[in-house]
Amino acid sequence: MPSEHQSFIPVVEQWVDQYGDTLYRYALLRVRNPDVAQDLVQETFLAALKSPQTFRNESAPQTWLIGILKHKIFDHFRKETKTAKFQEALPMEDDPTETHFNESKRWKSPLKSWDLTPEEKSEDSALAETVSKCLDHLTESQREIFLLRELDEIESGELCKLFQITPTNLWVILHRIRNQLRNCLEKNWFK
Amino acid sequence: MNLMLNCEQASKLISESMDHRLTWLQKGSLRIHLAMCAICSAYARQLGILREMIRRWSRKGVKILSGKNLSPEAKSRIKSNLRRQS
Repeated sequence: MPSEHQSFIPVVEQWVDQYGDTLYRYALLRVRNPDVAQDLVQETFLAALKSPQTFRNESAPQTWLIGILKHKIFDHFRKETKTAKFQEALPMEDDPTETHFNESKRWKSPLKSWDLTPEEKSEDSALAETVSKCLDHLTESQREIFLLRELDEIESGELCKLFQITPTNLWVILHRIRNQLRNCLEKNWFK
Repeated sequence: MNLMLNCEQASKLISESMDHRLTWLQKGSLRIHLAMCAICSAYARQLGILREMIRRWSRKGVKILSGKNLSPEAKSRIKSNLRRQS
């Protein structure tokens, strides 16, 4: 192995201690499975080790590492979506049990107002905890597609390619997820 | 084409507007509906708040949405795998 790599090993080892947790949480949020998340983090550090010359142009190790991890997560999803089980889990049609609208397709009742206090806006708040729990109620594939859209801001076109669905399917899926989360929050917080 | 949306159509477009650019026709119809419908306006605000919260909290170091750490064992395993690459 080239000596450049040899001297890079202790640097990357230090990064495992410094950034390992951040990378792990980043992966875990998206893939949910702790073993898969760990594997992706390990693959990230191994890939980082192989490219010391690429890093020299970057200033922030964390940003660079997250970039590598993002690609690993994307590849992971690309493999995942090929499985039949994954395809079945995504709801493609509008929910027939949706009862918020009457026959004239107007809202049955008004929505409560969501006025957040400064405490509620904090990431340590009980509200944040509730939102986290509501996200946990999503199926794995719902959660994956939603977080890729919301957090990584992957465009519709990319998501359609990745999950092999039409734009209309995608928008219906995201709408249903948003409704589910909104209902969950309304039920469990904004009573 | 009917420019007057019902609430079911409006709520669908509200969600879609968060995922792609609406046509000017869709945008116009939606804006008209929202001007007349307080409940759909509230719905739009709530979806916006939901997105805001999730993005803000996950950006801040992903603490609430996924508060786990890599175990010390996992870290040593990764480090020894790195060393094995030499």
